[in-house]
Amino acid sequence: MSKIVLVCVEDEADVLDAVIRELEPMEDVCVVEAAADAAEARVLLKQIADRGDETGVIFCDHIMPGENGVELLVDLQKDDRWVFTRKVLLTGQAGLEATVKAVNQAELSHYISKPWDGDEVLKVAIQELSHYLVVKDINPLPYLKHVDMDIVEELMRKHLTADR
Amino acid sequence: MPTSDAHLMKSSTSEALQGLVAWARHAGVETLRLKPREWMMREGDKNRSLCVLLAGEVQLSKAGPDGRAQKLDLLRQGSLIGILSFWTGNPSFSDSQAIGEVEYLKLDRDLFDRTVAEDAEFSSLTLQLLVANLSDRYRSLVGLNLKVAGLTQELEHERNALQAAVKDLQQTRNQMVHREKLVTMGQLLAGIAHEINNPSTSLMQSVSRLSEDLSAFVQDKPDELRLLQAGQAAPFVSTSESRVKLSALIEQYPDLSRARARRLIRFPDELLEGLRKDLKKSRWHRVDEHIRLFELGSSLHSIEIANERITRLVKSLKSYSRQDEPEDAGVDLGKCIQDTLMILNHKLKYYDLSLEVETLPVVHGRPGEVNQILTNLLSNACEATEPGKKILIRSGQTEDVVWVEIGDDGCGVPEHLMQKIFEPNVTTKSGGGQFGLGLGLAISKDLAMQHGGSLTLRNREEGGAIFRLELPLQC
Repeated sequence: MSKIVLVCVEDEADVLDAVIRELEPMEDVCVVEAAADAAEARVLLKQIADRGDETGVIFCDHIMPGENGVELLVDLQKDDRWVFTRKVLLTGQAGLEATVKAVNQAELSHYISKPWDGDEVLKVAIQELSHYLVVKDINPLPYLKHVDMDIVEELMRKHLTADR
Repeated sequence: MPTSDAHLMKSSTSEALQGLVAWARHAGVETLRLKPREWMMREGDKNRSLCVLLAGEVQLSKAGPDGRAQKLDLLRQGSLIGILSFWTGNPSFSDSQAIGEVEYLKLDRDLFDRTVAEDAEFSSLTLQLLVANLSDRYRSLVGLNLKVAGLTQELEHERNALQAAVKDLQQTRNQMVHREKLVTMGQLLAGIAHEINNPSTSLMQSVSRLSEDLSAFVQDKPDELRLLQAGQAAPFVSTSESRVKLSALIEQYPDLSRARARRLIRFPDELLEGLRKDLKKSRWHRVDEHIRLFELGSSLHSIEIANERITRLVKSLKSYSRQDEPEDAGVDLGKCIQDTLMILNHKLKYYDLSLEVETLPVVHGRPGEVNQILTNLLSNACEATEPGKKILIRSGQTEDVVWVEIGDDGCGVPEHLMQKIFEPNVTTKSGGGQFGLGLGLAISKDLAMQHGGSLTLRNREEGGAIFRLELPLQC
């Protein structure tokens, strides 16, 4: 069975570490992967797709050395492999223009501004994973430990009936 | 008109006047008198007579657009008054007021018409007077037109000068506001630096105490001590490297969770080797104990590193924003460059920085202001260059000067802007939320010149621009 991967892209090692740690509980049901810039993220995303897994959520910083986060997200939106991937901008620096571009051209799912409070990243991960399951019509049962029941309720009913 | 002609006219006017006076005496028309400031005729009055001024002066005036009387002509002996209204029958065109004692003849319309028909000499006299009057007025009209043209030109000059002065003032004002802002920012920076410094110092002390205490605590347990120390010395592992190691670990120990594996990546090989049995037999609480001690060490180290960063930043902030620096604190250009790089690190880290900075002799000057110049130049370089491309900073000295050059990888500066770019309010930055008063380079050049130095610009052959700041070794 293909696995759902949560990908984090962030150039500051400390911040990346913090995000990964916060997402670790999700590893009960998913895989968490990290990249330090957009170029590495592209390689990683391709590897994930090639081995038959799918990138469910991508958390991406905006300003990074090399290509910026919004450009990466906009590009992903143009590719069938990642069009359904939930895209989260995790940044303290994106200006209005970049954010508008992310919303309009990358169908940004969520915006987390740095520094974030408590377990906001984890909460967003749960919520976005749930949306991803709905959009891709994936049976939520294996993910029950880390999904938002309000979001997947309908989907659950459908899959339960189908099972029966 | 040549003087001889004017003279001729004058003489013919006075002859005609004498003739007219003689005629009046003969015809029984009496000479009228006005006292100073008395009115001869008022604007808008109906007028049925032509007045001939025999002696004294009469001021013509007319109500202007604002209702106030505007002086027109000053009429002298021989002038005809009321010509227009007399011939057209329209109301009087202007006021006429005696200036001194005035004598004049008043020729009633009927008398005039009758006499013209009967008396050829009278016709010729009045005609002469009329021609003289009209040519006089024509001459003064031409004179007036010339005067108006002259005044208009003068006004234009004055207006231009005024506009230039206003523009100048605006620029000065903008520069002052900008400087004031910088000073305020400097004070703010110094204050913030001070406020951060205290907690940062106490943090540093606590961490080193914690580190000592912990080491003492595990002094007798070599395994634990080794783990703690290994944690403190743990290397940085890049994301790609850690991915490889992570999958290798999980392949080796299939039951190992990714979260645990991620922690173990940073373990040195011999410590990992020591854990092999526990890992093989899935003794997770043993593994977790190791991880915890190791991470205690690495966290301590992280705090130390982070705090060192804060301390360095605070130091740079302080020396960067030196507010009450003396007139001549001595400029170490190399140190100024380092301080400015630190302050602008958040921008510069996205560029390929090429640093060739020499140790340079200290020169006269104010480091705070030199920092300001460098900050301006470096920010400009960042804005001109796409992230990831090259920004170069190099410094050196000649016989007379120390210099620093800051080059960008942008599109260079067009020839026609080369000089202009140092003028106030010239900016190549376009809107889009970019903030630029177009004062940065003007102020920088100003500051460089105050230091007896110079700020110049040239384009690089391979594209991009280079700004060069020179400060004199001796001034």
